[in-house]
Amino acid sequence: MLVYLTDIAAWFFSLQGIITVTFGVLMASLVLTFVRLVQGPTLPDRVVALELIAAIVVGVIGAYSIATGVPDFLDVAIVMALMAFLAAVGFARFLEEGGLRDA
Amino acid sequence: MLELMMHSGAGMALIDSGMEQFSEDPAGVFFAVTLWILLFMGSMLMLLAAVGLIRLPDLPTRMHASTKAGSLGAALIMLAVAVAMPSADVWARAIAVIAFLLLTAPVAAHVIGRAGYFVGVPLWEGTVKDDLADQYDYANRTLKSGSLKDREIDGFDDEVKVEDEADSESPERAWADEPAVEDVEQEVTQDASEEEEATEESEDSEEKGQKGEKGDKGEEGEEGDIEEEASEEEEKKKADKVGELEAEGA
Repeated sequence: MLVYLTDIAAWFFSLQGIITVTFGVLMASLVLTFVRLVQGPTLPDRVVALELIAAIVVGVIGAYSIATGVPDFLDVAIVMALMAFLAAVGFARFLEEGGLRDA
Repeated sequence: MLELMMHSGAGMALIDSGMEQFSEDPAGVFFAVTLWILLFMGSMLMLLAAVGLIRLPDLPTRMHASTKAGSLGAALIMLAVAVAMPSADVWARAIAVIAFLLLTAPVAAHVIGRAGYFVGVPLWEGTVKDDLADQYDYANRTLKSGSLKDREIDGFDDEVKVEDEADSESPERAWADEPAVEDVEQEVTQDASEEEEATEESEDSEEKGQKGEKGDKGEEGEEGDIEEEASEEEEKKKADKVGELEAEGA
């Protein structure tokens, strides 16, 4: 039993262990944010959830880039961040310039 | 199970070689520890942002959770990428992503918060302070700025304070009113030509007395205007009170 615990601790503090934990935690965050995206009572809530999903995807791309050792995925991360910002500004513009009222 | 997790996937095999490379020299161990801390804190901040987005009751509070914790978590993971692959182009891209996140997150949060507030997203029922409560004109879609004192002197509480002092019959107030009444009685005995100047002087002295009594610190011109309006209102109120008292007596 003790051997298993030390194995788990060694795995947790190793590099592939922390990368697997990072993937798991980021997936859990994606699920939680997706819950808010689905049930969010108003449209701005959903936009905030979309923005956080984009940030989490940037994190996933970074972790995957570490896991595979391929740094080319960082371009995808840059594009994800830019798209999230543009989507947020566009939604805000749509809401303020005569979009949905009281919604 | 553990071995299966350790040796599953194409990327994990590459990490094994990376670990051996890290554990050869002390600098590599330092980099591995830094990488571990950065990845762990980044993922935990992401989880914190997601939990806050689920648990918090309100659009501004949810943005408070997601904007700061989310962008900081992504920045930490990008820093971990830069530490894991120390080459110039990776550092440049990672720093570009971090700078872009830190520059755009506040702007996006501000824009969405503004749009949500003006569209009419309900605030949490426990909200203590809402500074924009009466400052947005929904018809003209304009936002007034500045405090109440700058916008309209009528609504500011200086006048209200004076009225309250007049209403509450404190002994200080009664004592302060007596010289003014005496001045008026003396002026009645004077000539008609001097009467206007005398009343002006008495008003000035009354104003000075009120200033000294209240001990206000402000520009004298504005205060004089306010006090004149206040004194007019006081007279009206006194007249109304006298009328009410007479009506009650009758």
